[in-house]
Amino acid sequence: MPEPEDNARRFDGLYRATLVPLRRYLARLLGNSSEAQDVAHDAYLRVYPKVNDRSARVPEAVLFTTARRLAINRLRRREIAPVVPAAGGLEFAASPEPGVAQQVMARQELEQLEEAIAQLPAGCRQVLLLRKIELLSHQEIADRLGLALSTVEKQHARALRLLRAALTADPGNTAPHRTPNPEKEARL
Amino acid sequence: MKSSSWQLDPAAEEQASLWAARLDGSVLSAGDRVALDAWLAEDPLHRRMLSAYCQLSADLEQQLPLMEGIREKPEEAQPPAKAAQSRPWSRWPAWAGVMLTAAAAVVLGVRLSHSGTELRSIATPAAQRQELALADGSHVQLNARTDLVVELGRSERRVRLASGEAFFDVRRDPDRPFIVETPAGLVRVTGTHFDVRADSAEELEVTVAEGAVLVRPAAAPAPVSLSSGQQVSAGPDGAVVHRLTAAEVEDALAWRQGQIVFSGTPLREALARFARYHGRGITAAPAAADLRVGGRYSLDDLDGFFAALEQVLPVRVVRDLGGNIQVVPRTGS
Repeated sequence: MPEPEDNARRFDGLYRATLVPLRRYLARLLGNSSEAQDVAHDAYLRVYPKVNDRSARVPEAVLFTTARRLAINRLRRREIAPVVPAAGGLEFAASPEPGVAQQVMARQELEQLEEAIAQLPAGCRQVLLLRKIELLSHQEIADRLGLALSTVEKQHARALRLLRAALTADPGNTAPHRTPNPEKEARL
Repeated sequence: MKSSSWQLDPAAEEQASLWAARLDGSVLSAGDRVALDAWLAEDPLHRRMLSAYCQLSADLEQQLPLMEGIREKPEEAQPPAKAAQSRPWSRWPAWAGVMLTAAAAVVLGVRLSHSGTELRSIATPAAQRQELALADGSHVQLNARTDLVVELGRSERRVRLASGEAFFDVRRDPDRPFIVETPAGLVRVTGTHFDVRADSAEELEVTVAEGAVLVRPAAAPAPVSLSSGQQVSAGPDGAVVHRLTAAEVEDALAWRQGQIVFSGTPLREALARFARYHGRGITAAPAAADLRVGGRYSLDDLDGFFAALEQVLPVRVVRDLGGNIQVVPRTGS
């Protein structure tokens, strides 16, 4: 068990030494400073536990890598929107359904999300966590696990389906048995 | 079963989730893009499904790293714990006396003691607020997505508010002034209750609930002295002081109860407050940006706010595939 004081010092040192250069670096990547601030914030939140349990040997490198990957994901998302032809104007995106997203964001639902993730099949969960927590690309995950790229994509997709199903299920009905699943269990 | 009808189409569901996954973590070829467009053109429902999956995917990226239980053991299945004891945050190191509230939303808590200085870095994630007690008896409440460093020295108490919003209840100590530094200026007090909002690097808003404070906006020529019931908004163009009624002060501080109050507020500004709180892209189309919004809303209930907007104003809320939300004028009908 590492000393909390010691961890605190380590983290604070890291924060002070990196805040300005990290934001500058991200501002260059993203082209604006407010998004840079957001991403830096997220990166510190992610790196904090690693400094705490000392799993990161060079925390600075981990911090910058994490920040870069988060920034890249943002840039990708910026790109995704234009993929959609604006044929129907903005109408296309109208979402009559109160997004699963917002429901998940509500604090009370975090527990539900945690449980839903715990119930994912092991392979699915592993791919999901490597993507969302380690921020690895599908190709990197495929290389690490020795899987085909298409398998990784399918596992990720399946995790999204299962989570969406679990999170949109009637809350009175999320018994610890089987989460209701609209799809036929497609086996990989 | 309030759920949408598209669940009846498992094949489309599978396609939508697969496209969302691939958009998120793979590199699509030009051929893939053509195939995606073709699939989207098949049925208007496809676009909605894909949009929902892309949002879920983006939200997971934000939420998962903060869930301690999940990070710890990615390989093993977690037993379905009882709700009451499965708070994902509960295993956060307990710095005795730091946390006043149970849901440890403070994610970085740092405490150092050398040469009589106590130092703490605190940051809150999206949609979470946090309260903490300082060693000098002062209390700080942090709004969502706020970065704060507290340094309690012998001759002064200094807080760096890098971004976000905080309410300070400062224990009086004439020998140790309490200074809040923001990118857009300084606030100096000896003991009082006040709120500081620094949502952007150029702007600063200080609201005094009790006592007196001295605000030194970076862009203003002279410091501004504020007393109970006054508010200063400072930006690149200078500083403006308003006098608020007791009710208006309460409204400005409503975030501490997880609420926000608008009164003739331009839609653009109202959306910016929700965007800030949730860490999401939420904007108004130019034609809707200057509509006025009023009322009291729950900060956590984004859907409730949007539902109210659609009911009261001639607007509709649209979500794009990147998880961004835009409020646009309602056409026709």
